[in-house]
Amino acid sequence: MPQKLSAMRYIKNNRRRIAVLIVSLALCFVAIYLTQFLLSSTEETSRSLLVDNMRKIQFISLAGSSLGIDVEHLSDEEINAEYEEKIDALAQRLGAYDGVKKVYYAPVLYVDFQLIVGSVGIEIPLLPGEELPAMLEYFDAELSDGRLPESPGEIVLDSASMKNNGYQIGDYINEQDYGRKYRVVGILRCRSYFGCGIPVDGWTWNQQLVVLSEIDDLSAVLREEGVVVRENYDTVADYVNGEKVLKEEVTEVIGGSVKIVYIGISVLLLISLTLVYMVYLRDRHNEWCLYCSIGFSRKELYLSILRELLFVFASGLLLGGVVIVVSVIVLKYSLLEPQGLRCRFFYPQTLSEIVCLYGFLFGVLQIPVRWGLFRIRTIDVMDDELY
Amino acid sequence: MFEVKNITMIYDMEKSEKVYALGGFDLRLPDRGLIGLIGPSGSGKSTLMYCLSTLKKPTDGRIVYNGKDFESLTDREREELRRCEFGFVFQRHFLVPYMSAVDNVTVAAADGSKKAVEQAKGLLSALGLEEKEFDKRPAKLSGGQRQRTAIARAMINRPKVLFADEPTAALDHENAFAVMEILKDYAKENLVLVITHDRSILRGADRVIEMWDGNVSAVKGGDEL
Repeated sequence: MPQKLSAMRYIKNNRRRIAVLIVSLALCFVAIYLTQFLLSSTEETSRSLLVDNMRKIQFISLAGSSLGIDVEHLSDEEINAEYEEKIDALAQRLGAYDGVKKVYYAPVLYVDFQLIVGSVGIEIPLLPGEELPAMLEYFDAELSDGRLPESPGEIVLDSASMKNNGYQIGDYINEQDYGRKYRVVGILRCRSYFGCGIPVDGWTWNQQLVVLSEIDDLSAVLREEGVVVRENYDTVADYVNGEKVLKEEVTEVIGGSVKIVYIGISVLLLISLTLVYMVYLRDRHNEWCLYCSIGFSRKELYLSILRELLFVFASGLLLGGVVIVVSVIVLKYSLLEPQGLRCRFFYPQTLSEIVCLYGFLFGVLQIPVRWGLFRIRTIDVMDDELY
Repeated sequence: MFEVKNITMIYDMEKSEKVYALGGFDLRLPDRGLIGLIGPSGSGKSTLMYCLSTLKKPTDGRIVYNGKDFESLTDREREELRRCEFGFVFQRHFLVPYMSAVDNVTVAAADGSKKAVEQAKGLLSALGLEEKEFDKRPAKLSGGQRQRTAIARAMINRPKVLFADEPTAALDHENAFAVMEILKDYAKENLVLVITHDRSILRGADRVIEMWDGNVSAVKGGDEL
């Protein structure tokens, strides 16, 4: 059996050229995956804030008119008095629902949380001091440093939110918004992004219904209570709303960005790889003409080219895979975790898309390969053309 | 070994003025021996060699090799003949630029074993290449060294027929005669067909075929030159 045309002969003798091809393929693989990884940390973190938290705590902010108050004809004092009365009554009724543990009508602070792209706010309910231990227990949170709030204007925050904002115990939160009114006195260890505190005396800003429940759709419950939630006037931050916000404002935006990066890299890779490959085919034209002349068939040549290509693609994927594993670990511990951001290592859909992209590129490269094979002449024909 | 009957090769068939590269002649070539093909440029030497080696199909006539009529061979069978029974030294060596001298020889070997590498080194040595040249790429070899590498590649499978187009063109006289001695030695058991302009290297050839304008003008013994 005559020897096959070895793909390794070219690979061994052209290490630098092959290495450039492999590294380019690997880097594109890494770029696509890391873009997904980093941007998705925004989604993972947002999911925890906007959706997972809402499985335990929900916030309802209703306009007076939604509670049936005639805001057109009453004075401000009358509106406020009627609002207090109606919201208290609503809180009591909600508190009686199955699955509702407790309902507070309390001020809510927002602590910024910086993501890789954009930011979100964490709701911090401000409750009477005696309610806080129960609140912590409900969130399965425990104090890891400092102390629990004891006086008005003191709050506790989970460690991830502390890291994200660079807060230390004793720092004032969102000083630019609230002034030196709310100070962190303790750090919590818990799985959720969570915080709570005691309002400063007379602080009535941003009062909301804070519902501790496992009800996914509070709007439906409110509807049963005769309150129709209107999109532009009222806010119900519950699981259903969280899913909607996550999908519309995070997942779709990030998905779009990833797609743009993905398409950009793919097009760039396709163009550069095709150009590089055409140069490569041109350089090897005489070699293949020789092989054909001394008795190797075009099929053998094609199989040898395919083996070379497969080696390059497989090596590119393997090298890219190794670089990705190292990169995501390094990024998680050096970039994401210090900022309190969450991430996921494994994105099977992205991986399958990358493999499909490589398959597509492999397919597209068959065009110059077939063209290169078509152009092969035996040496007698080359001599005829020469003379 | 070869029986050629009325071989005709016409170029530019579609044009009104046809070019007759081979004008329709008969020829018999033996199983072994060194055969020289001489003649001026355009006399049809290379075309005859390409026809005999299955690279070209003649326009008319028959070529029978060891009882096989080329006309009846499939492309695959032609490739197998070139691969297993024929060896080639082309005028423009066609060495693979990224391969070492040894690799350029073993690329044509029937098997890629270590034995082939040893065989290639032995051939290169016999053809006058020093061991330090074995790993050099063609760009680092002189014209003569490249020529000798191409000859070694042609001989690696010990082909039954060795076609050599100007195998000594890039060599000085001393080396040219040394290479011819190797080819003569090889021709004791095989057929070696050498195309050349240099009559002096064909001294001692078993037969010299002179070509003129696409026809055989004379067939002489090597000693008659």
